[in-house]
Amino acid sequence: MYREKRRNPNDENSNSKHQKTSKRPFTFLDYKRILEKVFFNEELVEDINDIWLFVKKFESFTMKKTTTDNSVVANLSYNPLELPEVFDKMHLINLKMYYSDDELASRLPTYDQEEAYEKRPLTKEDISKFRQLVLMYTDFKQKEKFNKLRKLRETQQNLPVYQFKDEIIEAVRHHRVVIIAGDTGCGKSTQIPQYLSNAGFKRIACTQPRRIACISLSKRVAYESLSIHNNDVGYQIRFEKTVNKDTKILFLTEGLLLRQVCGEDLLSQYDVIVLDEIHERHLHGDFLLGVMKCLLHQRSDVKLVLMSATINVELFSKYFSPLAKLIQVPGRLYPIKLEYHPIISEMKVLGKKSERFDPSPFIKIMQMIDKKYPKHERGDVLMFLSGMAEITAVVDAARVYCEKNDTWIILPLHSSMSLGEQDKVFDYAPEGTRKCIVSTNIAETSITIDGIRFVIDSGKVKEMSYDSTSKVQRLKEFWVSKASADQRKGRAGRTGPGVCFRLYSEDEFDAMADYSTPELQKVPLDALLLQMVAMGLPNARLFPFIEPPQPENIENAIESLKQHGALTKEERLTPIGNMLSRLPVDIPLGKMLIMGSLFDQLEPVLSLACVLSVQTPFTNKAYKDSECERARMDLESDHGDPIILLNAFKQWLELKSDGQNTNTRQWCKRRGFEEQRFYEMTKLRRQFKDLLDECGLVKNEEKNMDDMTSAERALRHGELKLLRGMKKTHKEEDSRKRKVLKKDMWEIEDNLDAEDDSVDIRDIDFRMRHNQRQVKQLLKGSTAISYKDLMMLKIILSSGLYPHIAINDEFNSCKTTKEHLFHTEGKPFVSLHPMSYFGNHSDVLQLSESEIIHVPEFKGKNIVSSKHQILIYMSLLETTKAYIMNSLRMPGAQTLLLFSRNICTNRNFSQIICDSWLLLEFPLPEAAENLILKATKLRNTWDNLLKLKLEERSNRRAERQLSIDMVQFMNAEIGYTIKRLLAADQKVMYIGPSGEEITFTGPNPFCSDDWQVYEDDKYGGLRLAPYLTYDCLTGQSLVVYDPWTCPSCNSTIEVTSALEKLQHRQVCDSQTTSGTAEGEACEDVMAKLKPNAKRYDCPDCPGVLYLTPTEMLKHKKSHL
Amino acid sequence: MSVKQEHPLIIKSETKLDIKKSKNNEDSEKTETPDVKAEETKIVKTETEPVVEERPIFVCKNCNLTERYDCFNNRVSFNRNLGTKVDYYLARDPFSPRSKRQFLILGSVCSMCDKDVCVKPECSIFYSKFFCSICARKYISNFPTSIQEKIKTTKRI
Repeated sequence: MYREKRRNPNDENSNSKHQKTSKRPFTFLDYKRILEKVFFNEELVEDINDIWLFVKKFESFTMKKTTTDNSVVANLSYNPLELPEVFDKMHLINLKMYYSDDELASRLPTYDQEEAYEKRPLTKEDISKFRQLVLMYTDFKQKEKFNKLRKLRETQQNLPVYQFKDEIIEAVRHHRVVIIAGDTGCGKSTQIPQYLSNAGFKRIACTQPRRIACISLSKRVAYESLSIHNNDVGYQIRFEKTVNKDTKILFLTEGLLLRQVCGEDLLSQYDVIVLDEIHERHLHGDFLLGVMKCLLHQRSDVKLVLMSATINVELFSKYFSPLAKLIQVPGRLYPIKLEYHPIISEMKVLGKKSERFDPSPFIKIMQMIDKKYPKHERGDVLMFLSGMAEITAVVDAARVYCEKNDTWIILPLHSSMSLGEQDKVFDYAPEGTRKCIVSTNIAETSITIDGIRFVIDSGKVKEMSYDSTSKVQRLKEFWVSKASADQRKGRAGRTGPGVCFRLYSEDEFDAMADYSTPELQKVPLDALLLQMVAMGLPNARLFPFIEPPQPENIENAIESLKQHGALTKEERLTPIGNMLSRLPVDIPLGKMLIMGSLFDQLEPVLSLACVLSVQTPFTNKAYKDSECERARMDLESDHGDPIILLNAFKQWLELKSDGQNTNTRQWCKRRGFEEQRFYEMTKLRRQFKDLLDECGLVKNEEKNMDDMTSAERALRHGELKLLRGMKKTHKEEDSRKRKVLKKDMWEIEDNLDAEDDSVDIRDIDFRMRHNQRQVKQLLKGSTAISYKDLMMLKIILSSGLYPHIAINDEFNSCKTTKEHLFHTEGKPFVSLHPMSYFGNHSDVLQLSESEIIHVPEFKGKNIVSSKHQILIYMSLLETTKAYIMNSLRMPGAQTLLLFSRNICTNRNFSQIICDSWLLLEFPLPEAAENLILKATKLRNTWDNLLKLKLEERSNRRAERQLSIDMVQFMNAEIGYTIKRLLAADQKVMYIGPSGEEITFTGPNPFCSDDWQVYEDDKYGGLRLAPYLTYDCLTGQSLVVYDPWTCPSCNSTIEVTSALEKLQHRQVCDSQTTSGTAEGEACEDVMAKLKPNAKRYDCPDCPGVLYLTPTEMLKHKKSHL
Repeated sequence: MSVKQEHPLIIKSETKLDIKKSKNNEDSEKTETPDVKAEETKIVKTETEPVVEERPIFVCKNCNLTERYDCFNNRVSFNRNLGTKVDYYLARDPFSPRSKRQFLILGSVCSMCDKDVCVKPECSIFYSKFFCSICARKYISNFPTSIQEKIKTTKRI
């Protein structure tokens, strides 16, 4: 087996020195091109440039040493090992080339134009010499790589978790649930998936709460398991995945795994499910724990591994007992010196609370570090701050400090930064400098940055909480919990002894809560509960939450789901609810998408939903820099922020579609946009579209290239090939780059042209995913062409966002724009966000003098106008004040009548209360009567068409007609007043139930006849439709009705209420037209649209159908 | 499109109550079914060790370095230019892209004692042939002087 290789005799004795002949010493470097031709093809060495560096170094080294002759004759008389008789250092090299010198020499050119070659052509001897050099180089490379491998293995073995390797594998084999508690730095997140994979588990899913952690962990684990260059380790996050059938270890987000549970096969694609960072107690994490508990009952073959920091481990272990086995891994923490530096500001001394954040204490600590610790002692700084504003303040102050003291690199870290920017924190600072990472609590647990020696902890965190009653999100600063504070401290002792500076006192620490509040307790639960019901867990109240949320939050969420029509009264999933649960967006956005598809406005609504669900592309700079504002002028729209966002997206797409590869990066920078967001929008849009396609709401035509001509296809093929090549080179370059931070990094950031010559990888990705035609389609889909389209868009938006509405405070007209106040149902006195459009242009929302109608006989101090406007908004955010975010203006009464869940009227419709908090008063009751009748007709038609749509029996023409009618309705000119009711008003406004048996006879003009009219048990009056209660208000109910002449039949009749009038008219109308009263709203429209359609009572279908003769035949056939 | 009513994840209300009960009353846990199930899987799992159909494993007898390799040969199938002078445990180079067709030498068999050792200087030396460090020290006098020097200075594991 161990053949002694035949040695080429030329190999051994080729060390003679011969290159002293020319003045300039001979060097192989002069023959680069020729030698490359002779020796190298892609297989020999990894990087040709690298070998030339080696040659250069080697030659200058041998020059200095004046080559000691290696061919010492060490004649051995006795040679039991059968070693070569003559020593040659080449015997130390275990590599060989498969080409003989003759063969190589034959490749030498006979003639070459290069000067060096003409003077002194290469000889066979040179070739032989160079061959040795190449072998020495490859040998050197082998040793380098092997050392890399060795170091890697040593680091792995030095991790605390390594001691538990066998115990963990055994535990996972023999127990269904294994909980591994280990502090940061014990290596659990990186090592355990590898242990399991090596132990033979084939499909391991590891969840992470954050996307960035999925990526960085998958990179790290791929490196450690030597699979960077294959697909054994992959990740999958919302918009990206690097996973295929070979993938053994998959890192994915919690949300994604949850979506996979929704599939029928119970995650059977995985044999081990690892949930990491469960101590963080995220919404999805907590939910997953509950789901896993259920899953364990269903799948006996799945293994569950839970990993957590040593925070509140008993809670988890108890939750899964008796199935769980707990393994505690001690962390590897170096000693950390703890110093308390409470901030004593003058304001505090004076007993005043300072409003502004002061970055100076942080800078002082930096100064202290500079003084105390010599520069050559490495060690970076990590600061924990509560939010973006604070980070910016500290970063700015620190950069000023750096101007004098050039030994720092300041890096912000915040979840709203692009992933690329976030990645910078992992790079190394050059020798003699420290990097200072100014971060939110994102760096507290999952993002682990090596080399941190100093931690500066503000002790504060900004947390979003949610009030399910008033539907307000609050972003407030809190003290962190003790567990968090210790976690932050621990970050200083990962790579060596460290120091933690706490900018608060020990007393303040003692006063902190033990553990942080789980997310489940502070966010809206609507989407979660809906997902639960859709997954087949019908009763959220019984779900085994690890720590159940407040019962009233569950009830509020269920109530809200019912209001949106996602759940029935019996809390069953409705078809629309089912569809909503499949869309990974908030319920309002999901509703918009569904409505968009109903009204054939899906393309723009898709774009709108995307711009609203991605973080805003506006950077802070966008509002501070007047130049940015000027550049953005043409994007503005007085309809509101969502339309402005849509415009921005549209223009960006326009640039992408002009086919000239315009530099969109610059365009974005000039306007203060974060371009990443636009890419996210396009990705999300595609995802939404696929989802809607799956739900049958849209035909996805863009999926294939079938519609292209062969020439186009060929062109596209070429383009794709080119792009793939570019992407590959970028990837290879990227992985090879030594990542050392540049000192003046932020200066580059400000420079518009600096990075322009670099490859824009996101642009390449974008172009790979979309051909020109697709971009054009995207563009078309992001444009509201006419006023009608825009109005329809706004209506669709409102249908999703309702009841998020706000009205003007009556005194706004006498205040400055900044002081304008608005009222919402759950929260009075809110402001417009200063960075929103209306926040700067609230005059658009005020009535002008010409829009006010003076009605002399109408009493009351409220202004009569037909132009009242209300705001529809995405969310309420409370920071220092409560702000309305992302708002849109809408015509008041029309919007309310179209979307209110509960409309109460008096006897003649002159007073209408919407959702118990807004009072509309109409000086002309007849006009009001008409308006409300129209509104109910539209609503009924809408409901019916939606039902048909969800049953995939949509009626395109009726839908189109409805949208025309709707826009018309929105433009109705009718004077009215609008007023917010106070609690006291609400008490006296309603008649209340009489308790008597009521009888309702005659047709119902507001609803189909199958609706059972009854007395409302809360307000009194008649409930004529699910959303309409008639005659339940106290105002003007005693009006005496004169005899009334019907305009259509000209008979004069005595009526006692407006309702009777309407009933008469309905009978009259139905007699004159061919339609019947039954289900009139919907079917009226349909009958109108299809002239030859006839009423058809199908014996097999419930309900009445209106079909044309051919449709009738088809329908009959469907029952056969 | 029907509303999903039946999903395998639905827990029968009794099961759900069980969960509640078990939380309240820890004594009742032992009688519960999941425990029995855990026992069952225990038995099943130990019997059917997962079959690993993967790349073979090389273990250095000197330092216990454990790595997967692709072939034991003096060349790899994917690189026609470069080979080794004796047979080695060779793996595809994990540190360079596949397209570069590089390999990594892990270790070999000592030409004297037939033991598998890795190429770490502490574990082996190559001089025309492959020797484990123990054999190299044993036959040190047979090597050229410069190699002897090298053998003497390397650390032992």
